[in-house]
Amino acid sequence: MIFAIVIFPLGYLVVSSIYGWSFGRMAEFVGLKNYINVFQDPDFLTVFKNTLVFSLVSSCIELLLGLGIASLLDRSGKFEGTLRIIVVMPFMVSMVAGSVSFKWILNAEFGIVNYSLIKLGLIRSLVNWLGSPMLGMLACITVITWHTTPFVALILLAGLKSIPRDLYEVSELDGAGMYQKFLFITLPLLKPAIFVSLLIRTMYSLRNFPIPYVLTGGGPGNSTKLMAMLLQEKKIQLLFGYNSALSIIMVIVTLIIVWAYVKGLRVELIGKGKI
Amino acid sequence: MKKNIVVMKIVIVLFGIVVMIWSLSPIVWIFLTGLKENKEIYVWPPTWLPSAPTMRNFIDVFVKRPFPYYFRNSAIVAISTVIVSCGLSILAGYGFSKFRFKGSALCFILVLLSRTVPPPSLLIPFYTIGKYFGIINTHFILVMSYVYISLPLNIWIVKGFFDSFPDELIDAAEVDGCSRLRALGKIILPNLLPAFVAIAIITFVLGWNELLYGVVFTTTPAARTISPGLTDFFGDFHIYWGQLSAAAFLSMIPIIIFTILFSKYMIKGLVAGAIKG
Repeated sequence: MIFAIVIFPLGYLVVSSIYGWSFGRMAEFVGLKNYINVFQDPDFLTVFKNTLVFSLVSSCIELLLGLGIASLLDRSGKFEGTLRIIVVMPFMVSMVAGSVSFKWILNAEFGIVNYSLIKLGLIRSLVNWLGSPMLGMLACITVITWHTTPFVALILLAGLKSIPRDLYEVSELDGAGMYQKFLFITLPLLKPAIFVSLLIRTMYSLRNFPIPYVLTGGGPGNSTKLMAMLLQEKKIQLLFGYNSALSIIMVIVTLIIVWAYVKGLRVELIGKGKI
Repeated sequence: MKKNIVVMKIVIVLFGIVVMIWSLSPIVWIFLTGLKENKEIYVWPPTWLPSAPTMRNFIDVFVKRPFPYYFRNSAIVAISTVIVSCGLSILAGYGFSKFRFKGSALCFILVLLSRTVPPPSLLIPFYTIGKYFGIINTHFILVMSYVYISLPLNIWIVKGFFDSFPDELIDAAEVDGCSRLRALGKIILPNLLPAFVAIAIITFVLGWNELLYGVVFTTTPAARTISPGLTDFFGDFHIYWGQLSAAAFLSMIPIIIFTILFSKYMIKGLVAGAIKG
């Protein structure tokens, strides 16, 4: 049963990716033609690049911020409970609602960000945050950072809490300063948590759809379009063969990134029966 | 040394405040915008607080837009997803954790593997299945696909909780004449209730918030859920920011309430799913 549920959609995808389609029906076997079409499509290359930039940049920022927030939560004593509710809020509310909010905040004519920056004298004229390729991507990254940093922070917090306090005390006796403690105790022991959080959130940002869809609509041009959005567009155009090939590519990219992380951080996975 | 600690404290407090503002400001801002009158929304310089707070936009969302349907659909879809997904994952987690059968390890790895498959790449298979059975534009296809997305994670979390549950208790129940399934209902469920609350809420949040499948599989107000409903506004010639803000805030309300009430369970579930998964 489970076998069928898991395998069927995937198998179907593989099969349909190597067939030609007309009007939503499988027509004839075309081999790798769909894949070649995908790779020759200039749209795909832009979108692919966007997705990588989006995922990797936001992962790095989130890791740093998440580490900061996690240690903040770890030290906030009796406020931890309240603070945790507040911190986790962005992760719980939908990306759509969050993006809507940011879209309004960053609005060129009436947005509060432009107003504040002008008031502070940082910019002279109104900036169209969502209207240029660079800034649009930046806006998308901001929103996903807002949304998923809590998740990273929570995992890192669980990791921090599992580090025995004695270790710090012993190292203090040996004369270790703050940086040394961080470098030689916290970081190595936090490695599994860092690994897991990076892995999951990269996987999630590769498949992100709501943020560019709501925030920029993929534009201007294709500059902030991500793979999931390309899929949705092609689905509307009923390009099923192209779409299936693209889906398979997406699965493969996800697996490659998972594999790269595993290699890079050399975490034992099999023992834990991991992803 | 003393001075250092004081400085440290101040830094922590300041950082805490910045984090709070960063986390909450978009939510608060959308709420404030929703409260403003339409003419106040489009003024320069923008006002921080609404000068004459009004519920107009919140009411308009329900009266002038098909949002009552959207909310109803989201509730139906999210709750059905929770019931189906949790029911299946509790049984499957119980099976994977407490029974060994031929190929159980392989099955489990397959379940986990399906978690790495990005949902967008399953659009085509689901769409084709939906088309074949004629269930596009119904709640059914949404529930089916959400169950599919949420199941691996849920099974994984539940299995972790079952693993930590002592076998002796189940054995004792069996000695007293319980069947395996009754042991699940009588002994395990009450003890692991918090864990199940956690996955139920996480699944609910997923079902409530999901956008992609909602956009692709539903086009009529009768089947559309709230997240795709919000994107309807962008199709208009003019974006009604007042109504949109109000609608976006309304869509957040159930989630905010859940987060405040159950954040402990939710965090436990999320972290359990991540650390072990």
